[in-house]
Amino acid sequence: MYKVLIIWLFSVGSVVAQEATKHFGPQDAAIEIRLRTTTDIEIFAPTVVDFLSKHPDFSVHYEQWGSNDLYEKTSNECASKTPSADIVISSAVHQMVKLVNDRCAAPWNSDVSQKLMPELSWRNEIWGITSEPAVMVYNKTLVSQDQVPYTRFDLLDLLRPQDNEFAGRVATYDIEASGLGFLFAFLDSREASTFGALMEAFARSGAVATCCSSEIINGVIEGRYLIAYNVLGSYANTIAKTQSVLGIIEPQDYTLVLSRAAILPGRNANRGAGLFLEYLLSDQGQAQMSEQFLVTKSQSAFEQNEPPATATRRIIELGPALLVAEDQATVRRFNQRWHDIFSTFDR
Amino acid sequence: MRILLVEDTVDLAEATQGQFTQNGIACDLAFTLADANNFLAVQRYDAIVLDINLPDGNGTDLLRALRRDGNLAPVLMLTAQFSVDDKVSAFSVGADDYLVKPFDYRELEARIHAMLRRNLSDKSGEIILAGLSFNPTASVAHINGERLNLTRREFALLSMLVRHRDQVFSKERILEGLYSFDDAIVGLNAIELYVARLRKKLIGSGVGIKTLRGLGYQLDVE
Amino acid sequence: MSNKATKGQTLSLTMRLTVGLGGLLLFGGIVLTLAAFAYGRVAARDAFDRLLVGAANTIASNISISDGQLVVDLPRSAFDLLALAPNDRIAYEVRGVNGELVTGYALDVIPDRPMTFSDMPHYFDADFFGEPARFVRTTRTFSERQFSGTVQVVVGQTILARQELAFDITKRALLGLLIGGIAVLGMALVVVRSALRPLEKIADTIRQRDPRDLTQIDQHAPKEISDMVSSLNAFMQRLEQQFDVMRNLISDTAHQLRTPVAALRAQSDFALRESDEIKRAQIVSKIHSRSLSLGRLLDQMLSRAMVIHRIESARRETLDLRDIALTLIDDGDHSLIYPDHDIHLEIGPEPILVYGDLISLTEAAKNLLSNALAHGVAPVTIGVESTNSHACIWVRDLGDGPQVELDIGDRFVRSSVSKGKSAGLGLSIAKSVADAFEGRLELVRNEAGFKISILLPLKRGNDV
Repeated sequence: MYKVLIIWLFSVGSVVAQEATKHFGPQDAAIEIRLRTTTDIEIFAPTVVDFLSKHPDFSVHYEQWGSNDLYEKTSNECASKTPSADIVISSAVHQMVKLVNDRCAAPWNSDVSQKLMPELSWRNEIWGITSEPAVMVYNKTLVSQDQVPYTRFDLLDLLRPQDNEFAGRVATYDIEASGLGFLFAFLDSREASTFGALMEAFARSGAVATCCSSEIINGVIEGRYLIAYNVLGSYANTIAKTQSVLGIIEPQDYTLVLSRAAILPGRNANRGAGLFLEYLLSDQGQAQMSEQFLVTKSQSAFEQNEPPATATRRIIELGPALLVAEDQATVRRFNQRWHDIFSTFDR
Repeated sequence: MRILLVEDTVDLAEATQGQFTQNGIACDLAFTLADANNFLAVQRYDAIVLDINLPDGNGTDLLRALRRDGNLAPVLMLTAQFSVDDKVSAFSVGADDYLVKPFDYRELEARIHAMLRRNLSDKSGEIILAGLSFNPTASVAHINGERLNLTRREFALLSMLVRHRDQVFSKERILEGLYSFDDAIVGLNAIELYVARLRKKLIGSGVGIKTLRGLGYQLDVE
Repeated sequence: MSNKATKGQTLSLTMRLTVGLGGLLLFGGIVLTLAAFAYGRVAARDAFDRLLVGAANTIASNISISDGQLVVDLPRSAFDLLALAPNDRIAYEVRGVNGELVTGYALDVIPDRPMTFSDMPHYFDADFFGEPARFVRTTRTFSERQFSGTVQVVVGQTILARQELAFDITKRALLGLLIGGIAVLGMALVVVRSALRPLEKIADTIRQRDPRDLTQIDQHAPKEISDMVSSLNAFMQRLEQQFDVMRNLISDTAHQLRTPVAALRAQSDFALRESDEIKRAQIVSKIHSRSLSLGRLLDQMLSRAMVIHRIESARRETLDLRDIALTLIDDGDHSLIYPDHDIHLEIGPEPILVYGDLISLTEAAKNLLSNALAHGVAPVTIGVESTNSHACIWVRDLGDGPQVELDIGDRFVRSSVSKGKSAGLGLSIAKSVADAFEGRLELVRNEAGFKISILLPLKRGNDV
């Protein structure tokens, strides 16, 4: 398993659209569920395996994709009405919402999907299956205890002094390469006024924008970066299990919580994919995913009665409002701004 | 001559039987239908006098059984009922005549003799015109085998017209023919009524009466 | 007499009303449903159109000019507004001055309409990815140094929420209608029940009555029912009269039969004890004549009973009185009993038509004739004639007529019986029949003799 992880670690960022594939379950299974997701195979594999143990007549063909490529592929297939996946799960949820709005997803009704909190589903065509906070990670050995930022303001303070030790050693997503990165940044820009200042601080201190969660986290572990901003908590937690050097912080001013979106492409849902979806939303699927930190126990999407662990958690709602994050003009302008800031201070 | 009297009123029956005997007519007396059947089984009768209401049944049943068995002895029904319908139904079940109680013995005997005469009368004297058969000796007329219920004067009128069917009868002549030996004075206007009644009764026989204006009436056979 | 009324029940009034009102409500319901649905659609359309135009205006007001370029800062609030229709997909686009797409879906559904400078939003229906949707187009006009022209914003949304609202409005309207309809039906049933209560009361009253109680029923009831009660009362009155007739008949019969039978018995007792052959023969002769007259009396009484029965029940027809007169002559009964009497018939050439029962009238005339033959002085004439308004069949003899006056009515029947004669009974029959056919008896005594007539209304018409 670890070997696979290493192979995958070095293959990230490549231009190959399809990053990795794997087949689960018997080759001659009656029904093959074609799954396309941005989720790393290692993280999601136990869940798939658990599902197949309940449904031995199914098999899952797992394809791992980058979020932008996945969106493009699914959108093209929708336009040509030749969906080649049965279920698509992406962390770039605004792209999934756009697909739903473009009538690229099939509805699926079931008791389980009805129980989902209303913010995490729309039109019975898109469902939030995980809850993963956007966190800051830091290198425990290189960042002293009193320097650890608990809020964005703390981070700003760290970056403010001229020629501080964090210059060039803070990393975050390259929003043009990562759909998820864009979404987090975009939502930050709408969420709080600190974003402008933060961007400016990133630019001024020579923050590095790179593509993927794993690369960022690895950089922190290896000490290339001291702090990384807006990293997906599930990846951080998974790696932190084996890399004790990795420190994880949920920002206390507010924490965005991503719920990975699943859709069933096409006009009619594949029954196997529907059952897989139901499994993911079921208590059992949620429990399984929580072992991979895909569902954080403090706030399960299903425990609606329980108050959130911290009032600062902000769930990213899966609804038409996310269409704004997919609007060409808005994206163009946001990217322009990002470019402008980073190029101003580019060394 | 031997007749069977079927009558359950004992004194009436015995008095009648006594009078028959006095007049030289042999008469057996049956009080019930069962008695009557016993008599009929062993004896032939020239005529039967039959009461309608009997303790063990209805006289008409006996009459029907007789006719079914081919017994053609003339039957006179006695009835205490008071309705025109009974007279009609007595004929329809095959009685030759009927008498309403209370009756005069002389009337009864006269009717019996008339029945016997009719029965014995020579069929050769019968005149047949289309559906009408006219028997002057028996004083009966039938239409298609069914006996015509005619009054005395209607029969007399029919008789005149049938016997002289090539003649035209004036009203005066008919009046004369009908009432010459009678005491009633009816006038010519009554003749029209008689003719109208007879016409009505002859419907279906193929025989009619035509009016010759100013002259009188004549029989018209199709 | 007892015509059995058919017991077959037709649909109850309550049922009729229920069916009728139910049908009416159903029809009204269908009409109202269509109306409610039409209204619901319009209401839902208007409501959501407001959201639509609100979103479009929000987007339009967020368009700005920067360095001569259009800058569209898509406001989240516009989408939040549209999200009030929670399950509907959203279409939007912003087009520049030359119609070039600035952002959003390149919607090819916008009708080709010349741009106007009016601010009136334009609504239209079109498909959005194959699903019916409602669109609005608004415009915003810029006239700045760097940029001038009209920018158009189109916002659309699928119509699930509209349909749902329309159905919801319809459903509520129908629910109201249903409740109202049930209430109307219920009230109608209550009204019918209360309207029918007097009928039930009358039915109860009659049911609880003694069968012989034919007194009038209390007529205090609503007008419609009062009419029924009064005809019921009239019917009972007639029934009571019938009972009276029957009672009289029975008591008359008892009287009339007992007397001659008593005479017969006395005479026959007498004969049994008489040893003288000659005297006994005389007594037997009396018995014989008494029995003859008893037979006639019996005939008359039966005739009377039959006439009374037929007056009530027989079907009436048009008759020629001349026929009746001729039948009497022709019957010839009289010639057996009174062989020495002459009978004359006086009839005209024309039919004398009346409306009545042949057998009853024949019996009546026969009784008059019998009376004349039995008590009058020969010759006896029977005749038929007509005046302007009346038809008349009469019997005349040369005698003085009976000693009684007719208007004494049935009473004199009894006295006549004891004398062994039955003139009164015959008159009574004739009177009953005349009364029954709206006619009367008329007696005339003069030097020509005694003439008794049955006068009946003349029926004019063609020959029979």
